[in-house]
Amino acid sequence: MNIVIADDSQFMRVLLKNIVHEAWPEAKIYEAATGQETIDQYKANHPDVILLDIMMPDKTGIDVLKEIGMQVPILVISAAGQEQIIEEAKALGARDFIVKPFDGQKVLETIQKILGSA
Amino acid sequence: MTIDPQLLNDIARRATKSSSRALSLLIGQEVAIKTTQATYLSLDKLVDLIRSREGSHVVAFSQLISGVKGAALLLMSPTDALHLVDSLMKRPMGTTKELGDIERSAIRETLNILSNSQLTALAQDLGVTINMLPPELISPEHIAHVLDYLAAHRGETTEIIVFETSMVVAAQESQVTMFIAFDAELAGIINSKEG
Repeated sequence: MNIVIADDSQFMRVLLKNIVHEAWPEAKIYEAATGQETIDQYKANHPDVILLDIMMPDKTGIDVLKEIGMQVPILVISAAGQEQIIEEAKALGARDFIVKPFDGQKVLETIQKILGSA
Repeated sequence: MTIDPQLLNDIARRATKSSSRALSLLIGQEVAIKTTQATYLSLDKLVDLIRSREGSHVVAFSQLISGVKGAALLLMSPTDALHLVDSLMKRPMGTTKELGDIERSAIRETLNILSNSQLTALAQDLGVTINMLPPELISPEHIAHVLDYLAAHRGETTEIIVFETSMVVAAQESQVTMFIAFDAELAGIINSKEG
């Protein structure tokens, strides 16, 4: 399984990487700290799912969704939990939206649900 | 523009509950709200208010860029910052001795999560979506410069609305204080919802 973890926060990328690795030790995890890096990682590594933050430098998560939201399963994980943002993300193709701070188990269950329906 | 102080504080209290719940979930420990208040004051007074928080040296800062303009700041003492990082990184208390890259990232993310939780609560209350930039860490002596910059890019009003929240992590006896300063246009939004 290939996963891209896209968040400008190094702390958050480490947190999510640990959560994913505990459940899927064999998973290949690629990191992105900006919107453009997310798109580059998508093109280079064809992930099964992208964990995507919203507020990132250069391109935001919404910009990323506009470019690739319909092409790859994306789970948005963001502190920006206002209803308008969630609706916009889902309209652009996000399979689900988890508001930070999150429960690690919920992240895993949501990833499994997304992969199961892919 | 005037606003009912009781109304303002009611709104701030709901927003504050949201951020204290967020901090509790983030660090996996009980968090108590020590102070919550909302006031109408000038930027100069805000700088004085922040400076009066003695011992607060670690400062995370973010700009509110749409919906309502403003800024969010997270203040804590160096000791409390190290304790907070221990909790965030699930390390035994006392492990973290200095703030390296990932530790600073953890503090920035804490402001991101706590302030966004308040903004989400406000959005539910008032129907306004407020976006903010990713936080940065700044030194306390730069607070005035940052706020001066914001003042120069504001409208004509000289007053701002400030939500102040102090939270205590009981197990550590450590405290974090968050200020969210909103441009006075928030008063218009509140009044129009209540009118």
